Amino acid sequence: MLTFISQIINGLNQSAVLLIATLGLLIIFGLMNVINMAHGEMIMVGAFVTYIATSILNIPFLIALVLSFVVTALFGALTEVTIIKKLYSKPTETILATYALSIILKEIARIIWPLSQNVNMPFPGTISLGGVIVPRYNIFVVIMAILLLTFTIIFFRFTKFGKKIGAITQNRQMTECLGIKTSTIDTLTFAYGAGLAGIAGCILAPTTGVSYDMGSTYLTDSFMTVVVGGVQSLIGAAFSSTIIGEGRTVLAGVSNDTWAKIMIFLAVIILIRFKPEGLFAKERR
Amino acid sequence: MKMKRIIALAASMVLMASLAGCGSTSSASAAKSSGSSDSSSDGDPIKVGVLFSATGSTAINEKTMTNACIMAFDEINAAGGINGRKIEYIHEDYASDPAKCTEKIKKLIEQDEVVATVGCCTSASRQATLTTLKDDDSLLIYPTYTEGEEIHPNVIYVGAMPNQQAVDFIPYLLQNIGKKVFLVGSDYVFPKTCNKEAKALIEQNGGEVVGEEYAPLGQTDFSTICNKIKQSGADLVYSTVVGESNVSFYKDYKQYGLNPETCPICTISIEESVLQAIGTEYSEGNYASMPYFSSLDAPASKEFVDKYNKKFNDGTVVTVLTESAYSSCYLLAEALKKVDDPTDTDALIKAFNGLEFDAPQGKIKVDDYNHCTWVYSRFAKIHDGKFDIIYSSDKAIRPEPWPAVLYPQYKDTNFMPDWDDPICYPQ
Amino acid sequence: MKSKLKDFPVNHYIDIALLIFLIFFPLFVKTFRVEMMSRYLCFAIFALSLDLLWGYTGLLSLGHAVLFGMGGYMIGICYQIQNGLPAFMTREGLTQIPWFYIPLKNPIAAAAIGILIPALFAMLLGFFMFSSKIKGVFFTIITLALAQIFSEFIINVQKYTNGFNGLQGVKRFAINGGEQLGKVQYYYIVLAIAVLVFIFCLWLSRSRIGKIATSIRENEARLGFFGYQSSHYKILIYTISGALAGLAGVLYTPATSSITTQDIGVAASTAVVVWIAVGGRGNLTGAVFGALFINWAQSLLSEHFSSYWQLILGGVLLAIIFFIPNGIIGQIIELQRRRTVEGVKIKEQSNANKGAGLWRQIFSR
Repeated sequence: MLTFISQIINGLNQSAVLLIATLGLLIIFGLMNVINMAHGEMIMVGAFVTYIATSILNIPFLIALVLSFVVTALFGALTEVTIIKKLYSKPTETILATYALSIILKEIARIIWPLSQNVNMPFPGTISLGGVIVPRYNIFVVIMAILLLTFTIIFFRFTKFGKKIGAITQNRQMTECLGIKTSTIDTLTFAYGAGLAGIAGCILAPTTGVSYDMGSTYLTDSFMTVVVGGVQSLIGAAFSSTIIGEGRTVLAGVSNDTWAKIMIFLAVIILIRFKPEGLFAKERR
Repeated sequence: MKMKRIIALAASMVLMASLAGCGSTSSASAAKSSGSSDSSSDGDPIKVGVLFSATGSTAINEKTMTNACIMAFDEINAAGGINGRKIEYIHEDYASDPAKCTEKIKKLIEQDEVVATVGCCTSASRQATLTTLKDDDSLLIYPTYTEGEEIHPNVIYVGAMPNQQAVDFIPYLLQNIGKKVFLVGSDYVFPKTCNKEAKALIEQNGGEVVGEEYAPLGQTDFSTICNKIKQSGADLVYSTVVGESNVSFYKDYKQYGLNPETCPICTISIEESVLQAIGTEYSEGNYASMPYFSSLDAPASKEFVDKYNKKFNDGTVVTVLTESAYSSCYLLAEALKKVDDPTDTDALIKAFNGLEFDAPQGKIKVDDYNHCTWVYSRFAKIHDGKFDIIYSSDKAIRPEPWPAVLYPQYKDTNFMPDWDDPICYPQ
Repeated sequence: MKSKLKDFPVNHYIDIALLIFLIFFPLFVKTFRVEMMSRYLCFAIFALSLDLLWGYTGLLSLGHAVLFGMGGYMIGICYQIQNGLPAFMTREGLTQIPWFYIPLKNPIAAAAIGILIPALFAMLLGFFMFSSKIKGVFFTIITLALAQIFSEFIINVQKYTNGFNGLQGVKRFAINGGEQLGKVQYYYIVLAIAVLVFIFCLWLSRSRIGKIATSIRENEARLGFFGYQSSHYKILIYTISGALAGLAGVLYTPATSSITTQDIGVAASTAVVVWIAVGGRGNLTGAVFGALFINWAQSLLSEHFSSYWQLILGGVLLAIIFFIPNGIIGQIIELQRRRTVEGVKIKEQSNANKGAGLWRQIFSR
């Protein structure tokens, strides 16, 4: 029983990691309709920023967290202006362009850092919750996931900027007619999504190490989470990452990790049959 | 209209490139049959292939192997080459893809006409070359430690066989740490095969296997496995987790409250390159078994590490794979010195039998019969982010591609079935 | 006469030029280049199968290599079980060949199964996905996840598939333990099949099914108003595409003599999309040209710039997307079309119709 409970608690950590990795994608894909194949590499950029900040420059982890957001967001803005902006009306071209970008980023990282690098654990040690041992860092990850989610929801629901974005996704031309500069808003939204990916990289870095190859693992997982939760729904992403994270951990407890993944995938396919827009789909035009 | 020119250019490029790249000769037959007489004249360089990934996911391990080969061949050339002839090495990148590996070994053998190739890192890539090696009658020197249970007549295995890493290591662990062993590995052929032998050895030495788990390759979350380890009450974890997954494994291990002091991870698949990514705090107190550690306190080893670090300042570090690739090149050079005609593959393979070399790890020797190499058995306790060597065998240990503990029937036949037994290699 | 030639679609000139080039290719190069070309021709068939799905129907699959791999693994297993129990099964403690592998023992049967199973799989998956009103992007993402899961599955059931190491030593269709086909001989067989597949795809794209597929791409909702059940056609196209991808896999495995999980995962699936994008989608020639062009470029680049070639390739890809968004062949067709629209007078228009009619006679009913 205790094992089962600890599996559930561990699952929470996996869900939080999944949610953090997904948030950035949800914004870029859900709001801007861009399939960003370089999402994993943006996570990698964030992780390398963290590595440079903490291990080379000896900056405290929490500041590195902010730095990784800022740097990746700037990088995202640059990407948006130079590449994505010209391809908005062509979804498949963005897939290819971002794929090309992912190759380029990965190769540059490989040439500079051929080996994987260490980022020190910022909050080592464990605490015991009624016999279940939980790493301190996991608690930090879960709190970060909740904070980021809340912040993002507030940002999009209650600020002027967020409402503008909502308006653009609803009806771009109409919004433009109202005198809102959609182009700037696109750049900022993309930058925000990329920045969130950077934070994901920063949070992953202490547990997985930082290498040029680290991003690809998260790409498919993040996309699955978005699909299950429903595009555009932040709450949906929270739920789906919890379901997938918990499902995987609990199933892995009884069988093994690969079968857990396969079973979750089959469940998703069947889900799609009956709820093609995901669990928390918003009514779209 | 500018566009048109670009397109025309691109279209003609593909035609030109494919023709130019293919070489102009129309002699379709393999290189072996022709030109052997004139190629043995003095002064012509002997061509050797170096086949390691420079891109893709396993480049993380293979870059240092490429470096080692460059270093070894440069040294051999500086020392006068092979009976007065220089070695010309040709590096090809197979991008961590076995299908590309097949393509590249064909290119090396049939176009560049190399006499032998040092290369491949994963078993998948090595096996992808086997058909070609046999058809084109060429030789591969394979430096990586491997799972055994395969001996190909055209391959020399310089890396350790599982028995060389396990036969001293497991009894030591059972005596000094505890009897209950939990086996963890990555989900593929190397860990599963090694663990089969490990299980037999554990039982033979009075230990007990209390669990066995495999994580998908590239797994980054080991919480479930850590939970299972905790639950099993194991005294030690015997690990065959490979590559970057080790970082997450070692970190999660301690994070989830398992203590290397009381239940260490004892691995046969970790290198210095991964160790630095784990960090001192999380690797502390765990054990590893390898034929060579770069911390080895011997003059030859120190010199080797110094030379490497001086020559390559590209972020890579010396690992067992570096050392093994380096030795492979020297073994090849020694074998080449022994044959009259380097293009005579049969003679070259025969020249390897019983060949010795003073490697950085000590004197190693290619077995007289089964194409594997006698290497040392060493194990180390990880301290302060370095391997502190606690045991080193007196001399190199005999390789058992089919370990005696599992296959007693091959004990008298050099630990391998007959060469034409279909079990010997994938045919 | 001149105008007739002018009207003959430019991509078919390229097709014929390419075919002539491919027929004479083995005469000028070493055998291993011929072997490489056989592999790339299999990739070209594979690209054609995806072009039907993506170029014509507008459904982008990022997991097409799964179907390719299913075909490839069938023939791979066939040659593993030729001499009794293969070593990797003995190693895992199996004592006899599993019953579900017995039908694969005959190479011809294995090839047939290797085409059938991916087709059935595609049909089933299509049934689940297209019956509900799934959006195109979702299909892309689901197939992406499928590619990831499928390669992990193959690695996991190591007992039956040799896991990460893959299947080696596959013979070029040696039947009943006889001699396998020669390397050049096999090249011409692959070439012949590739030509047949090309003609089939051309026929299909001009048939009613192909036209409906194109309208699905252009405007699915409107098709519904005309009383067409678009999901049925999508499932049909996906099934055909699956069969062709399986066929490509069946031919590919003997050409490389091995198949591994690297050939069936996300990377392989993305690669084929890139080939088509570079060649140009929706005109078949682009798929073939792209597959051959990119693969040769990769090989030759990696021979000369061993650690930077992927970087170069990424840059080239980005440049192509920006400057030649229709793909190389797509751009050529576009140029020709523009020229005819601008320059051709009404008088020549009638001739053009005749020419097109001639063409239609050859390739459609």
